[in-house]
Amino acid sequence: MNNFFSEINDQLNPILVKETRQTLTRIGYYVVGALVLLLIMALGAISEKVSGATAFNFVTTGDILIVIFITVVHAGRINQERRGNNELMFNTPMTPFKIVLGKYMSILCFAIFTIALSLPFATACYFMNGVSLLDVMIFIIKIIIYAMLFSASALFICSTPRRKIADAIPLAFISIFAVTLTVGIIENMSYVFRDIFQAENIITLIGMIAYITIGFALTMDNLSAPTKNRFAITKIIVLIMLAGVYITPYNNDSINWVIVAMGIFVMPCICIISPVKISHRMLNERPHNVFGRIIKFIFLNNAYPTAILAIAAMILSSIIATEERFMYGIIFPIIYITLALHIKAFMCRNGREVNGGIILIVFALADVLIRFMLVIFAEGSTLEKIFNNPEKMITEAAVCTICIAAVLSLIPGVIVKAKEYCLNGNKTE
Amino acid sequence: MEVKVKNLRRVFDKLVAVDNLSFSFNSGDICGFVGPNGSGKTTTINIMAAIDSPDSGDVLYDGISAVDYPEKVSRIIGYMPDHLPTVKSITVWEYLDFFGRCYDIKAADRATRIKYIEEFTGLGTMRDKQLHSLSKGMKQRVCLARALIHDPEIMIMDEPAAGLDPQARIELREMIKTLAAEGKGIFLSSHILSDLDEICDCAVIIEKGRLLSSGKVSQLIDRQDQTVKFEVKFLGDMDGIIAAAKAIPLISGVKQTGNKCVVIETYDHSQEAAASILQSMIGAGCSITSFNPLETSLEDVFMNVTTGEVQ
Repeated sequence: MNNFFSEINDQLNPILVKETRQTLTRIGYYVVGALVLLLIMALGAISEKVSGATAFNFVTTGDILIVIFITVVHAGRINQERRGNNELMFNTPMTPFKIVLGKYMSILCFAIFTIALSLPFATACYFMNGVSLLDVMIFIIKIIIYAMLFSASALFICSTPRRKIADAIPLAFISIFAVTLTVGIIENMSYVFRDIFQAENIITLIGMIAYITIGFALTMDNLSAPTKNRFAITKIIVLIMLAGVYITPYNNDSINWVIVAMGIFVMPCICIISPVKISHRMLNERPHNVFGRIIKFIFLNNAYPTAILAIAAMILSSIIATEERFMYGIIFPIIYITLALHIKAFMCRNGREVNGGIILIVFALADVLIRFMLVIFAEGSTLEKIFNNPEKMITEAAVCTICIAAVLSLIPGVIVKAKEYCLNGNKTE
Repeated sequence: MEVKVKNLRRVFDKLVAVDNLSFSFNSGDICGFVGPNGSGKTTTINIMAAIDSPDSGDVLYDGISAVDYPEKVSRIIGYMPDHLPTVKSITVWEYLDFFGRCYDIKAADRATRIKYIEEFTGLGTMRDKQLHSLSKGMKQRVCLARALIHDPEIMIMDEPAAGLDPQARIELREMIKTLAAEGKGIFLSSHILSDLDEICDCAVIIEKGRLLSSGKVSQLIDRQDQTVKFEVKFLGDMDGIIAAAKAIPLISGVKQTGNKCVVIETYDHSQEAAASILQSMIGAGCSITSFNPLETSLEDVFMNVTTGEVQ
């Protein structure tokens, strides 16, 4: 039996063990626990005056706030790890996946532990009448899913600022609040879990997994940026899981907001921070005169023109898109173009010069193919129905703009290659 | 095990931090890595420890590339940074246990290994202390213990003695000697050249990212040391003794090093030449109180080969 426990102990993620040990010695978590218990006592005091439903709303809101607090504060520690500890961890056989997984699991454990403190409170609401047992069960599942979603997002955001933890935590708080409050993700989740076996809701769950995976993979990328050759798999995971994102816009409007949330929350982060950051890094040697710098800036690192074209594509697609589907027109070009930039920058970092335009064209073609198949599978429709599908029109608008952006962004690369060929017939730099 | 650094180059924006650097050393050697501030020592060490990647070149550990196989290399080397990163709410034992787990060391072996390392580094009584409450010397011991947790064949140490008091430096020096005696290859950078001089078998001297000199310490000294130096202490007038020394044909140079002390140099390495110089100086009326041959140190070599410029 001892051997069995010893084996389990060995299999535990080292980061999870370390974080748990560190957290248990910190007073802050006991303070949070005490606050939760105080909330329970406060509710007990007012329980005679309020209905079970009101009390239940109180506990769900409180728990969501607690989960946000726990995940963000805990994730902030990943930013602290930058101060020399990451170097030491990368000097061990620990992979970035194991490092982020350990962090993720430790955040989840403490979020769930804190939520567990409020469970007697939620159960009490059931006995106070006004809520069903199903409501309580859905609440438990929901809050765990929230913890998973928020943890992935908070980890990614907290791992992004380079300077200090003070930058990371407020940024993560603002981002998560922005999503939960403005997009109405909480409301959608209630809908999803009421009828979990409905096809669209399963699809939404896939979208959520995609969301978590994107956050997870990007955290790995953020952490591992100084090193080479370890992280191709993370980008592949992002792409595969993005398939989940493709599926959901074909469901009802409320669920679409989940996807919109992903676009609002995760993609601009990638768009603004990661490619630019990596692009800077991949420019190891800069020409020493101004003219040379301008040429390199414009032509060799065509991530920048691609980014400018991305903005143009967004504007164009939003004009093309009808009013009520405005978001689709914006979100999909952002997704494609930012991922194209990201992959381009990643490949350049690994010594492979790839034109962002080619990646965009591949995306656009893949997009057409996936949507084509989805319409057929989801609606069992004929080609005629597909061409009459309004959603498809929006897709076409998005794909068109992506194609325009892709073709335009090919030009600098073609000019450079032509110039190289004319001058010496060899690759430069 | 042979460690080969081959044509390493690392550029940060405009700055060429390491430029075509090549050298090698073996297990059991203590190899000193010397250079002025900003000469590219830490960059080289980071690449050797597979923490950073070079723009070109490679570091090979018995043929295993640190660029292509960082995971394999991380099991071969132990990297000791110049300071212990800030970690709060964790004890010495927990910290070592964490890194033991990172290296997939099984629970039973881990406990034995941690105990051995705690004894070796003198951390036994500190194992339950919080990491952030330790003194600089103790933190450096924790750094060393962490680097040793997986029993690496090669130790890479970046300024291990930085900020340590003389006692702690002596203790660290002894630990390094013991590790080398166990057959581990030690590669360490340091500004304290007298320490390196005492323990190093070989040395690598760089400046502005470029290799200036490398090899066995004795070879480096021989390469520099074409003259034999004698420290001469005397009574009387300084100008008189310098004039007398310069008049002796065997003496190639005279330097004043103190109030009543000069260093004379000669190209003739023979005992007879030394006796002849001494006789000639006494014969010239110099009151010599001491006449001792001087050994060239690593510090002399360093001062001779570097220009003192920083990037």
